[in-house]
Amino acid sequence: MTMRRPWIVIACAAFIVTLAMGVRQAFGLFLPQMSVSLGIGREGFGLAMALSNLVFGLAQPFIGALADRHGAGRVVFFGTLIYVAGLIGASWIGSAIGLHFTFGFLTGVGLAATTFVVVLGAVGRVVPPERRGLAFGIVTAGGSLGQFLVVPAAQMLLSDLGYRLALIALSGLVAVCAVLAIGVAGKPDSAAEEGPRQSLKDALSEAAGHPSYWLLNAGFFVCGFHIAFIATHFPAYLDDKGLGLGIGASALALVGLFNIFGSYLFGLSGDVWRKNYVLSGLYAARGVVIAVFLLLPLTPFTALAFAGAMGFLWLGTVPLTSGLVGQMFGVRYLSTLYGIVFLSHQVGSFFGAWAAGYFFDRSGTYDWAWGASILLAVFAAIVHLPIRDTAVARPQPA
Amino acid sequence: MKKALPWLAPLALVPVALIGLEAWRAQATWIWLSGFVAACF
Repeated sequence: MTMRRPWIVIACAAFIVTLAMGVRQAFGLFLPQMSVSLGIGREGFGLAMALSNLVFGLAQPFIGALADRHGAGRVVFFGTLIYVAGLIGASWIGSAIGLHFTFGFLTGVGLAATTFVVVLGAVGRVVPPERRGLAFGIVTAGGSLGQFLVVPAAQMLLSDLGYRLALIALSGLVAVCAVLAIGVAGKPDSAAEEGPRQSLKDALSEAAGHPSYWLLNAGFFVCGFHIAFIATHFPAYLDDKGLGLGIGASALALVGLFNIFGSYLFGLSGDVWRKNYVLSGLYAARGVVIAVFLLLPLTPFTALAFAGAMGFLWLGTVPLTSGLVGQMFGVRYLSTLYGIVFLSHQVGSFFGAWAAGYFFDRSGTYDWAWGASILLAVFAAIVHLPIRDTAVARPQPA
Repeated sequence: MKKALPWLAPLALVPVALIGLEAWRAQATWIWLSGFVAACF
């Protein structure tokens, strides 16, 4: 590929995920106005959201493969068009089916084409292996910053403009990604990789036969479970315990704030220490933080301290996990292989959000979900230890 | 000192973080009430 200045690629990648992830985090804000205006109820809106998350995860390996084949620039450009079409479409549709297609399907595809998996592939190709942790950390922190800043801005837009105009305004924000796509453009060239050329099929077979790849998938499933459970249910948990709405909202803000710093610093840590050990420590720390939180008496202080600590441990897994995939298998098919790992994350997210609610409805308590979160943290801390993080040996052509 | 710079770099974001926190403070309860939590994974 044409070599670009790494910092241009990193900056454009970080801005792309800032905008794409930031707008995505604001989707839920539209629930009250849209469900009433369209007369579809919260279930109808929730289905559109669930579809978006499902499509985001399922499409990711395929869109990652497209990025590996045609370059991240083209994928981000066309993905932006689809994302914008989804948002504008959602602003004028008048039925549940229309909402499911626009807000559900189109935004899901658009997100898969404009977020971490696609842009990290482009960044990985222009940054030397020993600096990838830093570079991936910066891009991930960009996504975290977007989540933190765009949500309150979107709420202001909603309050002032109503949902139709707010959606169009947000689509304008997302449209900027089409310009930023130039910064991550360039067709991947297998000749730029060290070692022999490899087909996509060979790369998939190689990864599928590598036990450490499956351990990474298992670990990232746990990440998705934790994040979805806490983001979805934690404010309700605090409210159930009598701490009130304000503490729950502030807790989410602190998660968003500390996530920015954690994403970056854990990425940077991956350049200093072995990434699988840092991941193991991160998951162990999640388990300890949850256990300590549950053992201490619940007060506003412990709730906010828990939120800050979990926020710090939130998306630090992204630069480390994607970095490990690149370290083990090279960056030629990074987006495809990391896309599959990301799908595992989304499956974990599904269970974290849904199963916690399912068992709460039957038992009236989140004890099961908290217990599962601690056990899964221990499991993830253990499975990352034996990961072989060295580059896979490939036979040289005669 | 040069080695410590990358670790200290996030401090540059503190002003942005403060602006963000203020925006959240103004909007947080509305954000929570309006179903944000259902969408943030």
